[in-house]
Amino acid sequence: MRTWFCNTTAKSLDASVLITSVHNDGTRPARFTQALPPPKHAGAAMLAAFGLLAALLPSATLSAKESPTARQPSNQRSEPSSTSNRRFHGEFLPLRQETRKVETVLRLLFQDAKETPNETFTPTEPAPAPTPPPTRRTDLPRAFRKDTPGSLDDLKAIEEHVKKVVARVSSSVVAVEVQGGSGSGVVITEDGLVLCAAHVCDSPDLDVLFTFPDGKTAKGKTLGTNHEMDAGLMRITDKGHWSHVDIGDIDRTRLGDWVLALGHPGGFDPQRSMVVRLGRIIRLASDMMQTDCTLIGGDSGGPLFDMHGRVVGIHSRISNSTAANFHVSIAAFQETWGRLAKGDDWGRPVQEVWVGAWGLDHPEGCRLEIVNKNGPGERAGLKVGDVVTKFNGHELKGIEMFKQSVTRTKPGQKVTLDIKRDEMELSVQVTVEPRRGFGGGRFGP
Amino acid sequence: MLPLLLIAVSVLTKTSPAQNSANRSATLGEDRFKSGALTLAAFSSATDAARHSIVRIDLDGKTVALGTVVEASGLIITKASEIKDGKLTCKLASNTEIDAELVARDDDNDVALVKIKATSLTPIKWVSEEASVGQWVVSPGTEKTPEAVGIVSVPPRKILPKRALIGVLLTNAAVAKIVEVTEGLGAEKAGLKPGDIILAVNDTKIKNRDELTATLRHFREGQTVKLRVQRETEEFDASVRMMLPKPETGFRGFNRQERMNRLGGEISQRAEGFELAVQHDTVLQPWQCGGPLLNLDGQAIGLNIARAGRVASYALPAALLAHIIDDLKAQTRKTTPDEKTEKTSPQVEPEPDK
Repeated sequence: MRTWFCNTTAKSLDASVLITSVHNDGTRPARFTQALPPPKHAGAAMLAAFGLLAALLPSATLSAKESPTARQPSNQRSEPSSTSNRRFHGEFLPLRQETRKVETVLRLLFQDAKETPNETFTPTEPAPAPTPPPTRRTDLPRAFRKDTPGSLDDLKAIEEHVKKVVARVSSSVVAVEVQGGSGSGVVITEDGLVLCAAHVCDSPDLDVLFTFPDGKTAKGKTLGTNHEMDAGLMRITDKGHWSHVDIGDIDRTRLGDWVLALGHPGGFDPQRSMVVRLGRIIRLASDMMQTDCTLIGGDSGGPLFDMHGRVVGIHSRISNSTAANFHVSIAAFQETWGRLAKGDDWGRPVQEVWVGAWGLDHPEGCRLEIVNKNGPGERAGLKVGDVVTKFNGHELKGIEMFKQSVTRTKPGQKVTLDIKRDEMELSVQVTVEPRRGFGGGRFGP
Repeated sequence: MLPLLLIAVSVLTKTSPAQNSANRSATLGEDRFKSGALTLAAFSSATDAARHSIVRIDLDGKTVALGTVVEASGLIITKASEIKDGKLTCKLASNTEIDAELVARDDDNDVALVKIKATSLTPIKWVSEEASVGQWVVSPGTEKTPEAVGIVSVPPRKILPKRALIGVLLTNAAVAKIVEVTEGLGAEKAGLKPGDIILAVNDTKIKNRDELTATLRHFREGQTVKLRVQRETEEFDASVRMMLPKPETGFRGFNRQERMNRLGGEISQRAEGFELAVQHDTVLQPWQCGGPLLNLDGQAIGLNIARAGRVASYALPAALLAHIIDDLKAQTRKTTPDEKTEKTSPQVEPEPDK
């Protein structure tokens, strides 16, 4: 079974759930992750047909005090996302109540985001794209240029260098808290621009609480979110000269490079603070990279550093193997910097919808072989053996076209299917519904 | 059967650019990964000596842990929670297999001593060096190359036990006042009632709800706490056994964080509750705990005590181990075989008073 998670963690111990990126009210999802190509060794063709598991929602139904962001009106947002977030949260209310009953101690781990007037934020013109300072591979100890460390001396050289890099970059890594979910981030400018993952940012202009490794906090806002790449930008709006790091040069990044992953797995823990992991780039593509630096929920948005101490990736998601840790390439940020800095929100995935029926190609369209029990199709009266000839008046040429037609339909929308059943011609109205049931393997006929 | 027969739409089309580019990208050979065979080989000079101080501990023929020799006469320290009833044997680096016997245990730190009949084993050399973040740590087994390697992720800290509960809901009042008693947990069995105010835990006064929860956080499942309770005008003591809550479940019985934690391998049954532990990023199997954690010079700076999750393994630092081992040895001297079972099972505690 292949499972994909986004590495964000919900605020409370009782909070997180994994669900599909669908919304029962037809609006866009509050949080999600997009599908990524599976690593070669992750098997299970079974699930492949469904795309990949998506979306995490903190089910925490936060009190107004805990989540000042959730109810604040947003003047820049065109979609009613805060409303839909609330609604989504509400849907999971029973879970939280159930766990709350057990004890009263399930608070903590995260600092409370106290409500204070947001006086410091003034929208300015978009920040210019950062540029990587020049680097030379020859600046690094020779051990880093070898295929594999070959001796104890190599390992010692690596160790010494890694310790230096950790010491230099740590103070710029932050824990972030947005709308009750928490992740990580990294400050890349003195005035407080923070790279993060889009699924942690969620959408532009939300309130963010930043926590530095020493426990100091700062307030800020989310800027642009590129959900296609899972790249997001934030800004610390409190005034200050923030500890920051440079971004790396992806053109000089190679397969096999040693890298450091920093972040706050499980959320900010004052007793523990930041967690450092070492690994190598084991897969490198234009917009993503895979390493064997292990990640988990809460790391999302945290930085992947090269051995120059520069950010080359942002933690995004994981899969089964401990070597399956995925990071958004810094290039993805640079490519779309203008939109990120401006506060655009784009690239959200198509929602997963279905009518609960499957069939085979038929000369007149598509002959249904399976009608899912209790699916929208069955409830609308579809039966096995029905030949679907038209979809909203358009002639169907086979199952692929049927699938694609459903894909393009919004959840909740009614479609008319023309059907031939034992020489009868019928017209059936089916409501296309969001598909649920991921995670438990409970879907299927 | 083909259970996947839905007309379903996925995000695949949307993400195909990423997929294409990823498919085009090259992949690093697995033997060059951080814990790949080629990388591990570079560490063998650090582990070569230590492996003779390590044993594999089998329980009824299945390896459940590693053990670290602390005395030439056959005393071996290991992870206590992996040593259950059954036939214990130790396999040395020389491949000799010797029957073993559990002689002492410390459940607070989850370590135990086992004894084998041997005379000239090589005890491990501990060095009380402060682990620094980013330094290599090597987890050797009985082979020439180490089992796994990693780096120190977090400096030593206390790891609280898995959250155990007394089983009450408290009001928001300034004092720790019970509003509801959870069915089936310790507080109910001890006869606590809504309206009761908790004044002290094990004779330590607590002022309010936060102090109470913070104090209780340090107790493990199965331990008993003495609560000073005020009910209307009287005060009395109640012994309450700490118990684990029902597992937290999410959507459809799905605990996401827990599941993520297990992505990529099993974790130790006992992975919380240590006085002091170094967190490192070595990907260990639960059975690889109980062995030493080495620095690049091959010196033992700690003892691997738990695989705690996808990103974390814990090791007890050598400085702490010095005390622990002394106490364990003292236990073996005091204990005659007959008393052993009783004395070495502090987990077994009297039933709380009604």
